[in-house]
Amino acid sequence: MTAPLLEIIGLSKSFPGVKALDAVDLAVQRGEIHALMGENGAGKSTLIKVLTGVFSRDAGETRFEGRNIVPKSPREAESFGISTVYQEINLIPHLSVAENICLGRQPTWLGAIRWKAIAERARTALARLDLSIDVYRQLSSCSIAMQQLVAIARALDISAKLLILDEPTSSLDRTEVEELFKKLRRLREDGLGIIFVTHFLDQVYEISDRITVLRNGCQVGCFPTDELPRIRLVSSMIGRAVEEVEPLEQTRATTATIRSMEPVLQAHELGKKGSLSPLNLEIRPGEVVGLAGLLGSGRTETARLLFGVDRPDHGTIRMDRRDVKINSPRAALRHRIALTPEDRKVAGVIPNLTVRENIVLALQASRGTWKCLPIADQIKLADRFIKALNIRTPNREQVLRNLSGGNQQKVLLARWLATEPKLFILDEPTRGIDIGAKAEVEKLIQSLREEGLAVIFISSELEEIVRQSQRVVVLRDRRKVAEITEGEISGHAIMQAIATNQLESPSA
Amino acid sequence: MIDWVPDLIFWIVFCAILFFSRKQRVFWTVGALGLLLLFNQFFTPGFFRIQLLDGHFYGSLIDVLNQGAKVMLLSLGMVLVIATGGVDLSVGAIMAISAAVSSRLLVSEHQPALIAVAVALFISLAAGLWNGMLVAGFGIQPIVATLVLMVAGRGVAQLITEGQIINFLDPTMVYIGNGHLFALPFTLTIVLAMLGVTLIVVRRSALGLYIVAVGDNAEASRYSGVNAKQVKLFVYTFSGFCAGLAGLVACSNIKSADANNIGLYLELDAILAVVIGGTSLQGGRFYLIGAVIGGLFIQTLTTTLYAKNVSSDISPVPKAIVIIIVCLFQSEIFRERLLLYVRPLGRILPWKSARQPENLSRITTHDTPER
Amino acid sequence: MTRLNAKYIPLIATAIVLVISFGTGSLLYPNFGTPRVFVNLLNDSAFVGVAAIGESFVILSGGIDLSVGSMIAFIGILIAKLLQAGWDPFVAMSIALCFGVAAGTGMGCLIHFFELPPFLVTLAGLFCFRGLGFVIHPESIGIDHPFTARSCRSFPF
Repeated sequence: MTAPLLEIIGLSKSFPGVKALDAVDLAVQRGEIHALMGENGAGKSTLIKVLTGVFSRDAGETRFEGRNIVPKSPREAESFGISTVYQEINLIPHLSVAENICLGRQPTWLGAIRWKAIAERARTALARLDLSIDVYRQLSSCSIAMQQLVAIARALDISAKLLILDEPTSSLDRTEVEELFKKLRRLREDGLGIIFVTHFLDQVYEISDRITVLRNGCQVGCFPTDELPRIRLVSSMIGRAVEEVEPLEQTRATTATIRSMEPVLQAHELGKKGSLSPLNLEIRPGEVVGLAGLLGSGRTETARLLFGVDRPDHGTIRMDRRDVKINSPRAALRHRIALTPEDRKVAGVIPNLTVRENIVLALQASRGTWKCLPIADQIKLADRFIKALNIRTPNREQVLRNLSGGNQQKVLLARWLATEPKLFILDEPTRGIDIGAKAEVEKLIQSLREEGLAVIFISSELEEIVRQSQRVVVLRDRRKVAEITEGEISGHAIMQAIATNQLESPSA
Repeated sequence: MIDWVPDLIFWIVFCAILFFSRKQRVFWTVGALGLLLLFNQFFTPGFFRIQLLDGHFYGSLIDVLNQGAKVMLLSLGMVLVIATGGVDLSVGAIMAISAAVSSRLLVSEHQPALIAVAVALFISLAAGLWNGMLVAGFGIQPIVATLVLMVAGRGVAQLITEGQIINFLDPTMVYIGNGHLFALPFTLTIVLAMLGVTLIVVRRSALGLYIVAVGDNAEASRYSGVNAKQVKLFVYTFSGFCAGLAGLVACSNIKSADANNIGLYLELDAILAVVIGGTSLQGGRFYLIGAVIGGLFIQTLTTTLYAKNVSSDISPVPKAIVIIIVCLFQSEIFRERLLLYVRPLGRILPWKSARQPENLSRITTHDTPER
Repeated sequence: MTRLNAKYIPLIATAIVLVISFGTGSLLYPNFGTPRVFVNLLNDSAFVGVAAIGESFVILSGGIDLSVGSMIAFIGILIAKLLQAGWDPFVAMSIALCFGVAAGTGMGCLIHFFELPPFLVTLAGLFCFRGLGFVIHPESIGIDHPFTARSCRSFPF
């Protein structure tokens, strides 16, 4: 076997408090499309960043074309021949295609830019991908798919021998993905090595030659694609072998009672172009519905549609037997829906407000501007939740920024619990928090269920979903593929549903 | 009366204020003011002397309070705007409009003073609303949106006064800027009243909370159901109102409406006052009292220079130096470097740097470890 | 065609407004629509245009420069004072340019190395140059140098 183009041996990288990579191995051949897969926090992104010089490494070797390299910056990595195209296209929308391709490396003559040469160079680069578009047009006037191809052309033009594509297909539709894959196959024939980071299962099986799976910073395995059944891939990513997890005890009586009640919310053919295929979803009071699926399968998109952050362009939502329009979080709040968002830093935590202020914010917002909650009530409310959720803070006037991730999450939970919702959507509530806090959150969800709240529980950890849910809705690649009812919920069943090619069956 | 007794009393009171505010952000602002006053104590004889004539107090300190009313009023409005992450450059022009409208009504249309004042304030409110609609409704950047009125407003004021400087003698109008209440300038009463009203509105209603939330993390506020548009609309309208009030004070001070010069460059003073008062230009937590004291600081600086016979034309230079010093002290990089040279200081004063360590890439991805 | 439309709309809009206002003025006021008036317009707005070019770079890179106006005034006074003291006009202008560059660089250093907000630093600049102008000379100075008279003469049209 010829020497690999790229060989990573025993790569380790730690951040304060977190071991991101633990002795990871990776080998990519010339003329190979190698998929890199793993769930959130698995270390894919860190691996790429260490490889391209963004982060320094703690241990391990990188051999590129047989030579040992230690890139200190993306530029240096590029000079070796390793180029990366990121998910968010890091190009300048206001410049033309040609200018973007040659950005930072413009051909000059005595310091002046040679515009004709730039255009020529751009055309050559695009020709490698069988593209011939007007290189003078503004990048922002091209579709996202085209912009991605321009980004790839740029990466190639930097004489790439190894191309790293980070989630290139997230914003592309079916035909655009086909086009991209055609180009990638052509590049593979040319002898390029390609690392393809993605979470779309179908695409991985379509295009890649080998798959490396990361989990919790460790390399779990490197498999030739043809020899890896889907179920094994999914299980190695999620971490459940064949052991089963016990769902919590539910009495049949409880289930029957729930079944007989009026649904809190019914979503009919709810969808949004580009983010979620129309799906049906129903939930009753006292029910915990788990949304399972791999990263990027559309779970958060569903939550956002239900909460009004995104507007659906398809389908309806019914509550209390009436069609409702949920066009904004304020509207959702009015209908007593709550959401703790997946990315709490961006959409949840208000860092310079105190714990008390963060807790009362949503409740206050629901009361309008002038009916201010008296301070005494705010204090009582804050104290109640600090105690109930065991939020570790020196006092209630501590700014949220100073609390740990787990406690911040609890404050966000408290914020929404204070509004006494009917439907509570929890998007990855246990992400990035310690074991103890996780257990507390799980206990909380059960107690909410007993109080008659309807809960939609989104998590990447199968174990949690199996333990908590009475029903599991399985999503894959932005569409609903299965709904598993009580009695049949198991880790195996969920993974099976994710892995196999079942399309949405009419929901119960 | 022994000369140094009033001074001593003043300093005792001042130190008490410093002491009680030692845990608050206002401490720094009051401290800065204190330094300035200390300078005056030693180098400007008679700065602290207050005389009682005709039942009114007179003296340099009183002058500061009187003249500083304009900036203090502007900074009240400005601090809320800045807290939401914006800025209002048009307040000087709105002052001019307000002065022009009131004088015109008073003199040309022979309206009673109260009507003139009411209409002027109403129009200032409308101007603020215009700014608010541009920013909140159309999503235009605050600097650009308020620039419109900043540039056009003076022209509008000129149109209203028909290019003339309108003089008036109406006793009510003159009282606003020159009258006295309880032996102190009436302008002080106006400032304190507005401060009181603003404090009540901001603390008694949820507005204070919303303003900080929107300025700190607009997205998270939106997720929590806060109506960011409404909040922004309010702060710009309020800023317009404060500017209108300041305009009335300004024209009353000189008993005329000079559309060209009223409020000239005062918006910059107001922004400076807000920053000295401890509010960050990025938005978020704001300090109302700090902003007002910041305005006091600026006026004290101006009066000090005046008392030292520094020509008012040259006085902007010391102001510039002060701005740079304040900015430097608010810059974390500067504080870090300073700490390197002045180790011991770091232990006394709370100067924790919140900057991120290492070379964190700005390229965003989905599974970067949480910090 | 698309490239033409999208990029140039603001420019075209401004041009249209210019044409309309000049046209309206010509209709309303006698002698307005003459080449002489137009040349005067160019003359009077020349310095704003030049300043705008400099400001463009600042704004394009995400900052802002409030001190431009004061700097213009200051440089004017500086040159006038130097001319009055008998310096050669070219030397005076060179000194003034050097000063402008130094001032801008100074503000840029503060903004870049200490990460100070451009708004406040250039605000300080605005105040500074306003004051410095008066330090140099409190009143306006007439410029009576034959060089300037020569360069201001308008070309016969």
